[in-house]
Amino acid sequence: VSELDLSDVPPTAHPLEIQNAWAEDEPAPCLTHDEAFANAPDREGDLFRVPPA
Amino acid sequence: VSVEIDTLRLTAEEAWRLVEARQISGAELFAAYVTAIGERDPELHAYLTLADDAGGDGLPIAIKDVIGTKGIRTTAGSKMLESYVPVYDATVVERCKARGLRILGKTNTDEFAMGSSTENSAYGPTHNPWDPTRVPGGSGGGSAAAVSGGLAPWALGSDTGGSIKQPAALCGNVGLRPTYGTVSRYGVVAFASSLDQVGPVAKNVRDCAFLYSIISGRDANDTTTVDVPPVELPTAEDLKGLRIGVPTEMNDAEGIEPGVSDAVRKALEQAEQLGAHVGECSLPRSVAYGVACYYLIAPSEASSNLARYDGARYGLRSDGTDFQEMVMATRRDGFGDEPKRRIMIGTYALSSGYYDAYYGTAQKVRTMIRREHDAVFRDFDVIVSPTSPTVAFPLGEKVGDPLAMYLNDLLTIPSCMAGLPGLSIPCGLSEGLPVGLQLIGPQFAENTLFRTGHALERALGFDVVPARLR
Repeated sequence: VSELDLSDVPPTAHPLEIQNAWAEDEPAPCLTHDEAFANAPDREGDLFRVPPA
Repeated sequence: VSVEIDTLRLTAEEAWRLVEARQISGAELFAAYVTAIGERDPELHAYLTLADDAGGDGLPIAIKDVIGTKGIRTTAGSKMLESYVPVYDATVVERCKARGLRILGKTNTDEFAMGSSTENSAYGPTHNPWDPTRVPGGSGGGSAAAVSGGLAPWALGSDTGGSIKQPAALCGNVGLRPTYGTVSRYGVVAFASSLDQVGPVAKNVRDCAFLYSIISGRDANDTTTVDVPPVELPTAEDLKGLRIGVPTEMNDAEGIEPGVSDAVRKALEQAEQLGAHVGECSLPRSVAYGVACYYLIAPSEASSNLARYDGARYGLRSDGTDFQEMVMATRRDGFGDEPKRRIMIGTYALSSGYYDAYYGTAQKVRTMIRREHDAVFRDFDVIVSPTSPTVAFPLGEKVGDPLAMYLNDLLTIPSCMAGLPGLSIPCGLSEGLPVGLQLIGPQFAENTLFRTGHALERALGFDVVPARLR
């Protein structure tokens, strides 16, 4: 790709010509703690437990 | 007395009618596919996990295993997610369930959808229903083999650089990679986010269009999605007024097998007889630079997306005395060779001092590819080429040569880079194996692709049941 003259070509940031995607700021259901931890290899209370850093 | 259910031949639309007319029950239909899976899946290995979702009267469906399914293991073909059970459904699954569809199981895929043969699956390859010594294509080889092997009436796949279209071509069925942004990626295991799209795999174009109508449309949980024009189920049997462009570079490319070219040429003659105007066009730089550009952008995005597999929150964890060692051991043990290769390439391409030369340049080439396609679509409604340069190749043939494997996607990649929809339909046989015809349209032109594909499929009369299973 370094062979090409791209001096007047802008980079593609997104395949579509869309601008902002707004959403109403409304509360919606989300995962419970237990659901969020369901696949955790290790858990301590409401924290993911990992070996010491 | 219930009717005989031939899962190899029954289309989703026919199955829907039989259930509606109460000639068969939903449970009988589901059971027929479960029986077929029991008979043929030991040979084909299309499924990684079977679901037990037989309640209700809706149609069964197979789901590629990169698409999250609540309560059903979702591995993405990787050891990293061997025991991952999502706690929520992907939006596309939620939409299928809202229409009553029931999940037969999760289909095999190259690990994290990285590959063109399913041989990169950590759970072993899928076999092609036309010839089990050959690959079904990939990464969505499981979904394509399930549909052609009569193990599902239809299926969902995902496509980054050809993972729906190429397996559909190699297995002799119909696959749509929709316009980027028309189908939600929420709940789908991410590979390269600016390219990934979910789409339908089916036995014919009408089924494909119907399934697309179910899964497409804006989703508040995926801000890249947009409102989609209403889907029109195709009925017309002619192609009057349609302008078909044949890009020289995509039809004369080195490596296209003669039998593949012949089948595509006959399909184009058929299109002319149906009233289409067929003319030559050119996409020189899209073909020359598409694969190189893709293999900068896709691994870069993959290296970022796959950073989340750190053994902390979900997925595999390997032992390590401290956090850093645990993360390294987890990634060493959990990823196979192809994800590791792409993570390394992507990390390099994004590293300080190289970003502009690699990722930045590739994003400019991407704009160039898009502009080249835009120019062609000023004169043509649809462009046509083979989907894959070859028919299904023998298992093992390209495993040791990643570059040869990457060239399978030479003809599918350019339109993916430009965010364009592509439909693959079977158009004939070469050496007894299916040849796929790729139809590409402008963004949001799915209805044009459906119309073209439907008329051609009726005229060509391709028998989608693999010859050895008839």
